[in-house]
Amino acid sequence: MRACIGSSLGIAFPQRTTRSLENLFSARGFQNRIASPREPDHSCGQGWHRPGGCQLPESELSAVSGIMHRQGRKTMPTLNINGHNMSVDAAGDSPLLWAIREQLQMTGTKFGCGIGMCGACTVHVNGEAVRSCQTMVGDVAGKKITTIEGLSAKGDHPLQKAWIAEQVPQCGYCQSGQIMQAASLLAKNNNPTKDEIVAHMDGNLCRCMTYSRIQKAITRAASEMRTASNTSTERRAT
Amino acid sequence: MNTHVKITQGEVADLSRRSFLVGTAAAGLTLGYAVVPGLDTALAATAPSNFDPSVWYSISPDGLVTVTCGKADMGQHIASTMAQIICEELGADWKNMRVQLASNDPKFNDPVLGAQITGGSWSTMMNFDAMSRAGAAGRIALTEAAAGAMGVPAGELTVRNSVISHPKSKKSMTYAEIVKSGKATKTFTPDELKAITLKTPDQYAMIGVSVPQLDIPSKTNGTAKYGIDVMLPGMVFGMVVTPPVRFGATVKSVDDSAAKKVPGFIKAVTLDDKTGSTTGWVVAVANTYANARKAADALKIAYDGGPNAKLSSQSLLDEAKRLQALDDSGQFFVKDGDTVAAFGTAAKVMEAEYTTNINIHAPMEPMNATAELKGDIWHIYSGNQFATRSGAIAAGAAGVDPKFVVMHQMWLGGGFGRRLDADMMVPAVQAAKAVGKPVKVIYSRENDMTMDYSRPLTYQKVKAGLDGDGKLVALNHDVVSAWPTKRWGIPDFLSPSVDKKGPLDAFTVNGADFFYTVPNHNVRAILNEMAHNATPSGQLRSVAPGWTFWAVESMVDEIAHAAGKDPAQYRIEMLDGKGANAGGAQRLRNTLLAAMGLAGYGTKQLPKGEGMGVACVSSQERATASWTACVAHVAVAPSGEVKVKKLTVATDVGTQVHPDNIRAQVEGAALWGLSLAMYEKATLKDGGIEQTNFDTYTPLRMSQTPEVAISVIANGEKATGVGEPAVTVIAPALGNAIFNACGARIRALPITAEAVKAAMKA
Repeated sequence: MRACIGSSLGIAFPQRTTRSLENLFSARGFQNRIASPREPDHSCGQGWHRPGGCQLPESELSAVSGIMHRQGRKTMPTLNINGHNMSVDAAGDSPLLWAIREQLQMTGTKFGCGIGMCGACTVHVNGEAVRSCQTMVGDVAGKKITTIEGLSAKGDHPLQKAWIAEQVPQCGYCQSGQIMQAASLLAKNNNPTKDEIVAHMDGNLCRCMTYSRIQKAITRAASEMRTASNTSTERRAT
Repeated sequence: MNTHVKITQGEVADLSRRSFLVGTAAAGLTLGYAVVPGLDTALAATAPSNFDPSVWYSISPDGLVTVTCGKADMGQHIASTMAQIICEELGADWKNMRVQLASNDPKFNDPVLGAQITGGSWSTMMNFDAMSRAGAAGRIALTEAAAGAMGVPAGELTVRNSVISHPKSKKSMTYAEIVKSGKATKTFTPDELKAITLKTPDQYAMIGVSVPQLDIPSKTNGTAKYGIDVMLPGMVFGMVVTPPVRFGATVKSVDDSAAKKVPGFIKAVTLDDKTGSTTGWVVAVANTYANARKAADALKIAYDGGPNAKLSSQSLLDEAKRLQALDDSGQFFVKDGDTVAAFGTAAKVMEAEYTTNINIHAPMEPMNATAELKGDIWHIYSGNQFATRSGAIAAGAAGVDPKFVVMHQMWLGGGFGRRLDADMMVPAVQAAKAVGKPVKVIYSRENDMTMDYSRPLTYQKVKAGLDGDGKLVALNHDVVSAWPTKRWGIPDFLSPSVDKKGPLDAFTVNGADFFYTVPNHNVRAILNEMAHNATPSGQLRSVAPGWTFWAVESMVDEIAHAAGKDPAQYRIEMLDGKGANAGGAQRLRNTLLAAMGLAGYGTKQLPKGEGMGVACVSSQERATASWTACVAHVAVAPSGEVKVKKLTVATDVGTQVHPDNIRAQVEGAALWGLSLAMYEKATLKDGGIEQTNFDTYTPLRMSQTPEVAISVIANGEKATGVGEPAVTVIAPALGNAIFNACGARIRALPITAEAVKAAMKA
């Protein structure tokens, strides 16, 4: 059976060998394997539609945002998010979380508890991991905010690659927050001990209990980051 | 699935005749095979069209295979698993596989259950055959088309990685080329489908391989869309205000004068819920969710607390004890032999009470739904585990026939049974109706916790009779709880009682019909009506076996110790496979031995204060069991503080579709079991759930996570479920380990340091 496995996938692929997994994941076409919901609804007259997602064309999305801009408020705070300045029509005392999700339509940052106890809403403000449900829009104007969408250009931050290689997510809902929390650790310490990882990550709940894979993925990403930094140091040296 | 539940393959299950189900459900269970849709279109079309060999997938002219998953994907990667089963027989290249989630069109109903419902760890076992046949049908059709195009006999062709080759002539065609040619024309009748010879396990190239899960990349970059992420043009937002009482309160008056001062506030909508699930709820609708929350806070609502406003966990427990003491309470789930006579002649009789507290699902994604009326059709966007029922409830809330409701399935940010319920549809639909715009309703975490369809408080009384050799000869097991499945109002989900006293909710007693040989054995299912009304309960990951095995596996340990025998050996002797237990008992015995071996049970002297305990279970139901055993290793401090050093879990799943996913599920389930056993407790006071957020309801965190060692046994039997069984084995294994470590016998969940310390002294 093992022989068949390899031949079927075109590479040697014994069960759960991470090296092989990595090969597979890096194969072209392996990102974004969810069917795109471009397909239009084909109503057959009985109210039944072909399956599809909820994602809307850009034109319709802006129509949603338009709703927010009809409140006629005078001052619109400007937020620097993922390198772009964006004005949001939100009161200064309203949570950053909802401005990001609803007004800027970046839904990778999740709502979990609203009291800073779960970490699903974690983003970076000036490189520090913060809970966006507890951070008010007025307090972060002019600061550098990073969300999961802006962590890397192509979803290829070492942590994101490690998350795929270790097949961490189950339901996936908490994972944006987990990755953002972990990224703030590795930015300062690219060789954390297990205890340091646990201490840094303990505020992030995962109800699917993927904790051991999260730890493995952080260790893997740290290792990749050290290798990359050694390589670049060597390059500079030569 | 319980044996009593009708699950007739090839005909519409009785379930679909229920009046609240979607109107055209009866036409749904054709498996999509009676005609092969898409073929006519493919032939007639001028441009290349998709090839749709079954409702379950479609192949586009570029060769991409898009599988439509009719199951809710809540992290068990079931969409990817369905694609994998299809891919095996289809012979497609895994790189070409895509997944999407089904609407509630009955054609996507589960081929065995006849409805769209995801639970019970049923999906893989119940869809394996249908998906395999769908895949094989596509391969056969494509092969015949290729044979025609190449002018060679179909029997000389080989299929691999979406390419059909003729080795003799070195000709080959890709699936993309064949679909483009429009020549795949073979159709299959149900009989022809049934007659297809499927691969045997030795021929598998995909089943048993840990292929990359198709949904995972989108869950690392923020692009996976959950219900909470739905955005529609012109939509507004709803925040629910729920009463202080879990159930039974009604709204006396709503004063929205302060809410009207909140910018963007649109309306306060008091729900009129014919299903009774959201009675007493009000929705504050505003232009943004932040404003809806502010408006909700500003509403002044006066309630009538209703009949449950004074009840507490203690009242529910007292009522359970009162009911259990009555001879004529409840109905019999198991009635083997004559326990009364056996107790009369037993050498030793033991009794014990086991309890579990209320537990809350608390998936990370709070409940939400988005409703939009477009023309005649209500579109509902929500991640839901029971589209068939939830669509009907949405229709009820809208006041339309269910056929006018389209459920758009989303990725579920955790389900664990919570999203089998449909309460979130009601505020979304009624708010949308009231304001004439699409409305997204998002529960606050406080709404989500206090209005959970919780795992009920349970009380179990077990009485055991031993003969002179210490053998268990009689067991009476009474289970008192709210009945989660009865609440659904679907008779086919209830089971007839052995004593013909009317249907019982087997989802409160499953597991009590274990595989041990006990000649005289009674199990009574007793409905705690007070708890049923005050704390409407739901199916929480692993459901009944989560409490029945807590009692059974703790009691068996107590009995073994009383008989002076090793608890593991005592179990092995009772798993003799006699009569109806043949086969299952031996598999469970082997699994227990595997766990013992992996854990090194009994091989070395443990330090003082440490202990190992075993448990083994046939969760979920007798007819759908996975065989699971655990050895828990704990260290208990003199303070009663328990440190879980290691959990070793072995599980016999028959056939592994995706080994890595099985490990992920078993580990997640085991840690759920640990979380329920030690860290999660909800309580009722003045009719309301006291815990409102993760500050007071405290699931397992990373720092509390022990090492989990897993052994998966795949012995070629049919694939069984893995999402839940390991939940149920942990609590008793821990309780038994604590006893072995310090002599403290714990009979109430969750296990607390105080209880352990108190039991040490006793």
